[in-house]
Amino acid sequence: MSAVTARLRAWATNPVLRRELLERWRGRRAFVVLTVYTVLLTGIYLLLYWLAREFVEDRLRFGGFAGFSVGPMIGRFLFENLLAFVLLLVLFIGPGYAAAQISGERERKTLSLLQITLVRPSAIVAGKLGASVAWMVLLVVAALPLGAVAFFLGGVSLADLARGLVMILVVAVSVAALGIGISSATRRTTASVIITYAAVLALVLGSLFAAVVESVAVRSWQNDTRPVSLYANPFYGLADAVRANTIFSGDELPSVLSPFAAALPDSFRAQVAFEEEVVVGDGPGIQPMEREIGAQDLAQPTREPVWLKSMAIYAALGLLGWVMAAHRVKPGQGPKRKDRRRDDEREQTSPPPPPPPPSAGEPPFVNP
Amino acid sequence: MNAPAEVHNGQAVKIRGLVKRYGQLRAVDELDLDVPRGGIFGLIGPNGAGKTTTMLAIVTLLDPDAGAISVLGHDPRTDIWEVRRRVGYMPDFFGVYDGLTCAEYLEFFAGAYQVTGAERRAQVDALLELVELDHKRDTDVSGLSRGMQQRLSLARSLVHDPELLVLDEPASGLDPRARVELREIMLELSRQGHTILVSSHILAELEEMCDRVGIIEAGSVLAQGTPDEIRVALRTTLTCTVRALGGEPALEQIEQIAIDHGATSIERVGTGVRFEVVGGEEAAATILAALVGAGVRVVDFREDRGGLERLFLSVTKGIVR
Repeated sequence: MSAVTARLRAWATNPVLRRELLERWRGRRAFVVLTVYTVLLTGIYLLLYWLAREFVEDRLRFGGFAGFSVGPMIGRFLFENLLAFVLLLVLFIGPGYAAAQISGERERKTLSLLQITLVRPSAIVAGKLGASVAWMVLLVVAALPLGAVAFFLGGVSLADLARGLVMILVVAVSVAALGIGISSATRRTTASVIITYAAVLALVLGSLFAAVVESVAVRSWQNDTRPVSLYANPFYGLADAVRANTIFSGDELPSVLSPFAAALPDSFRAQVAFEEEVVVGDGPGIQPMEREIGAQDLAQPTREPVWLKSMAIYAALGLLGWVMAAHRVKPGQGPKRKDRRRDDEREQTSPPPPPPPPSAGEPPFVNP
Repeated sequence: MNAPAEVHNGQAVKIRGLVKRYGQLRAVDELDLDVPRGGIFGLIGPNGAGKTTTMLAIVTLLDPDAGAISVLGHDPRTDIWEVRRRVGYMPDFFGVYDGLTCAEYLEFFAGAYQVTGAERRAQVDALLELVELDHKRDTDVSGLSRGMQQRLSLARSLVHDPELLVLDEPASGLDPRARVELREIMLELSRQGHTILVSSHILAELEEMCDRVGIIEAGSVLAQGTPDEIRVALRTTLTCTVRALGGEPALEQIEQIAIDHGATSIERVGTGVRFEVVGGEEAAATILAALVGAGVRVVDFREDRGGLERLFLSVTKGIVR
């Protein structure tokens, strides 16, 4: 226990983390970004709610949704889109901050000042990662009140929310660690940011493209398997984590996650389970949904844990970034260049002084 | 504790056969250096001579290819943390953290050196006072003048109260007043018992504060010791200027005594006489004693301020690599 306490204390007193938080949170920038973020999120949420209501009212006008409780349906629609949007923001904002961490220190010439202190390389990376993650955690936490609206409408279980948040946080930490790793291996922040965003793009879009190629190559539809590269897609993992709606019958409200959910290995069974529970759901009451869908789904023994596999992939990527960063922040382990001598030692700008007169006619001595 | 026994002899820094290559170029080539404990040691050399590389090796920021280094009895390659605990380093640039005040800047680095709690606050207060920035403690570091940044950088290198201070071109880019202020602080630190290893291009400045110097060129130390030791060993000349009361007869007497003691290049400079002597300060002191003994009313006897510069030119060859 004392070891754990000591580690926690070391984390809390990490000077790099303290400074990063101080620098980041004290200015107006954090306030402005957070305000814009919540306003944007609320705006999108209201827009989605309006769309959902329009859709439902339109359907009801033509006799649709017979026997369905529309409250939980809208609640789930909002919930899934909200988490998908938060994940998108995490993937969009996180790398930009993390990718500047080590290269930024290099550019402002503070890395060597840090390297000669008693702060270990792993503590430097931990401080940087902590600061990056703290920022993203705040973005996630700031979105939670909007998630509460979905609870009010029903259709969402606490387990869904917990799994969804864990998935997003793991992706956030991993992407941040990857960004810091890339940052430690690049000389310029611009390059680091570009490479990190390219890596994120590869995970989000590249994984889909690779999945199509892989699917065709191994004819995965014949044996009902899913392409391995699909597991690297964070939205695929999130769709499984929140048990996203897979229905495309035209009578339901598909969310951004629905196409990913439809590609899940057990999407058919999940669809049946969802239909059953939505039918028995009663208005805005969330308790039946929570009890019957959430607990039941968690207890499914045959369900393939796609979201856990996705998280494992991201954890591995994050670990890779961490190890790379911890190695690269050691003195002399930074990005290589052809001539690593210091600038002032690479060039001799001033012409050499004229040789002195042979005052004594003897060669200079060494070490008297 | 793992210091190489063959190089540790109570010196602050002792280096033997240091080699650092960058590709085909040997930036540091079989360099030997002895920095005694206490006092200020000046490292002089042209750009590209290997000063910074040597300093980086001393402060654990660079791994040399060959040679033995002892820093306060520890090997920087194996006793990294002990060396860092006991050595302060001020590079020739100032790393700015935007949004930190002077006090926060120092507190951050004090924390990084594991100075905590009340000790940290006291240390920061003392250092701000030492470098005369106590009135700027709540000012953003990015808003400081170059001279103030240099002083804050010096304070940063002192947050863990190191025994050895390694200062790389601390006065570069400073105006004359800032240089004088920085020099005074370094002299005060020396009086407090810190050993200081400093590199600079401003030789006159080093001459005023350094007890010993090392002249480095093309990756090797060509000469080291007190300036006078080097002069004597090199048999280079020391330029002196003498002024005395008594008008023309006194000046003629000075010229004669100088000639009698082997001085050369004797010439009149204003109301005084300038000459060169071989044998360093010892020879100059002999001439001064002879002048006083002969009844010359000496009012000023000074070594030419370009002495170290002349010495530097005598020792180095102007090698460009």
